Amino acid sequence: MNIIEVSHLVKEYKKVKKDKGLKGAVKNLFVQDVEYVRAVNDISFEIEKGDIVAYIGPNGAGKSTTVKMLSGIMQPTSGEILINGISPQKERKRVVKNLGVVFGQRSQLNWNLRLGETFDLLKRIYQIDDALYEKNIEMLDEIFKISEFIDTPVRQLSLGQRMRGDLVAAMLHSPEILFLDEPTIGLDVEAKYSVRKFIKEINERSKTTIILTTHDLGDVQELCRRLIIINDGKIIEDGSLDELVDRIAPYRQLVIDFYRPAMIRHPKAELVSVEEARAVYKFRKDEITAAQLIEDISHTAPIKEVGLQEAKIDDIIRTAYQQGRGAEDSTARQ
Amino acid sequence: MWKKIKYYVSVAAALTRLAIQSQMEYPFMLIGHVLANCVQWVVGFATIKFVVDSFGSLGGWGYESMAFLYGMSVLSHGLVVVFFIQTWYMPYCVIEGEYDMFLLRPMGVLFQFLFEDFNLIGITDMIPGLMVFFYGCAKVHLTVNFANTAMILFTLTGATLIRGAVWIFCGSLSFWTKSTANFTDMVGELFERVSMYPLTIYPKWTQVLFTFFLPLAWITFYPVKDILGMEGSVIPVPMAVISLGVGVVMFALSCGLFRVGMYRYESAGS
Ligand SMILES: Nc1ncnc2c1ncn2[C@@H]1O[C@H](COP(=O)(O)OP(=O)(O)OP(=O)(O)O)[C@@H](O)[C@H]1O
Ligand SMILES: [Mg+2]
Repeated sequence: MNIIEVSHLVKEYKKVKKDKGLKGAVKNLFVQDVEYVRAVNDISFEIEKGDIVAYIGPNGAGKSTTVKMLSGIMQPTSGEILINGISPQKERKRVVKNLGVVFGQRSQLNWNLRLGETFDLLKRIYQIDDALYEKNIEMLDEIFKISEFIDTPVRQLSLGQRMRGDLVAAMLHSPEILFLDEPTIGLDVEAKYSVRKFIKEINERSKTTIILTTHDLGDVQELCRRLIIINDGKIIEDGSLDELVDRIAPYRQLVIDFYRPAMIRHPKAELVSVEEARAVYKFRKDEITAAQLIEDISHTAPIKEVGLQEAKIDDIIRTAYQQGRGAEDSTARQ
Repeated sequence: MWKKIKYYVSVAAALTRLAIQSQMEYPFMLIGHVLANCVQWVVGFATIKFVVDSFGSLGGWGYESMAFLYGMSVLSHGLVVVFFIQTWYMPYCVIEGEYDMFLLRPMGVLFQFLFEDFNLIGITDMIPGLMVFFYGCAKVHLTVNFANTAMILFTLTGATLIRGAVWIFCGSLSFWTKSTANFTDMVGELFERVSMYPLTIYPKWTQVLFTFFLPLAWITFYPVKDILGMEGSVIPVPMAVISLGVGVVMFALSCGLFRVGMYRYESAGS
């Protein structure tokens, strides 16, 4: 059975259009222009236990909205969610016992309390027994070094420290499922590294299922076996990163430095440019391997150095986002 | 069931302790509030004395019984401020998505919300309340016995629940209005008008309104009348018990409205 099942999920926000000026304000007292925004528009997916899934998309795509419905914060307009076979809308308390949720944009920690006090409170709320609590704190401290600031009031923590605090708070009750909405936002290289390391470790050790929302494609590349891309509330891609790369950018580039200028063609590669002794070839991964290409060319002219360029992940994702928008336009036109 | 109660009590205690602790970080605010509140209530009290002195009595109530009524009102005001002041921020919480945190935890949202912000500063309202209350008790020569003590406790509990319920009710409306407009200010004014002065000074229709439809007269007026033994009532049950009952029912209703409203909660797009 899949640990998360989402079918035909829809969320519409009601937006009241406010007219400008005094005249508008008076008018708004009597008539309201109501407009519905479909932030999530018929989304369905399933996630297996132990998977790490990147849930990405441009700003305003509907990622946070989805996460909020999955975690029982909001009611969907229609559609169904099952977490471990239970609906978070119908049995919120039962579902959230098994969830850890972190919103990078917004802390769940009490501003005025010391970090440790919030942890104690959570221990009580989740009824975590002493032994497990000690064990979890120890393990999480190993990764996040929270003992350095566990006695500091949350309002005095730096962004990175606070984020670590939030992650620990979400993990104290050893949830089976983690929803992380932009957990690396605003973090420095070191802190980002420790968050990624944490995600990897927690997934390996406890088979925790993780949904990760992020704008940092490094996170996706390093962590996620599966990628769900949404745009304008609809899923436009769902698969592994490799599959996506193969489909969107099947070309790779090979840069060859010869000893002297040479212009050598190859039937399975396109010669993109020649500049002095440097030639650039473009080829499809599924037609020829880089090794074969180098070997073939080296028969004709001696090669000094080679470099292989993959398509940049940023470009690939950008193309995917644009594709989604294109598809949207074309359906609108039909 | 017993286990569940124990669990909720233990979390409530922890939340309260933490709330007090975090408010203790600002001790000067506490002192400032004590002073401000004392001045406010003493002035209010002086006004009543002035009025009663000028007119002899108000709606058939003499100065002594008015003092006692006033004391009960201020005391119940203090209690509601201690336990329910955070309901004033409900519209803000709805608009800003502040309930997310509570929804993510396996406990009732209203429960967490009420206890998380247990208002220590409200205790400063209790000090003048207690002073006026004991003054009133002395003036009416209230005999300290079991029955009277029980009646007063029932009344205060009922009064706190009624006032709290109305606040929760008003706050919950923001789930529908989605605006920061808050009626609690207006309602607060109403509370004081109805609970500090004898209901009999108001027109008949207002008395009916506050007895049956918006039962604010049960905050102090009826139970106090009963405790002071003014005119025999037609019902054999003590008014204080009815007050408590009204409080419990209203509180349950307002919790229900909050629950229904929560279905409309949409967090905030941050
Ligand atoms: N509480 C809300 N009320 C009204 N509209 C909202 C609310 N939350 C989000 N929206 C709207 O819904 C759409 C999707 O928002 P959402 O926050 O889910 O996007 P997102 O994918 O998380 O974007 P980002 O990457 O910027 O965080 C946006 O158009 C946003 O304006
Ligand atoms: Mg978001």
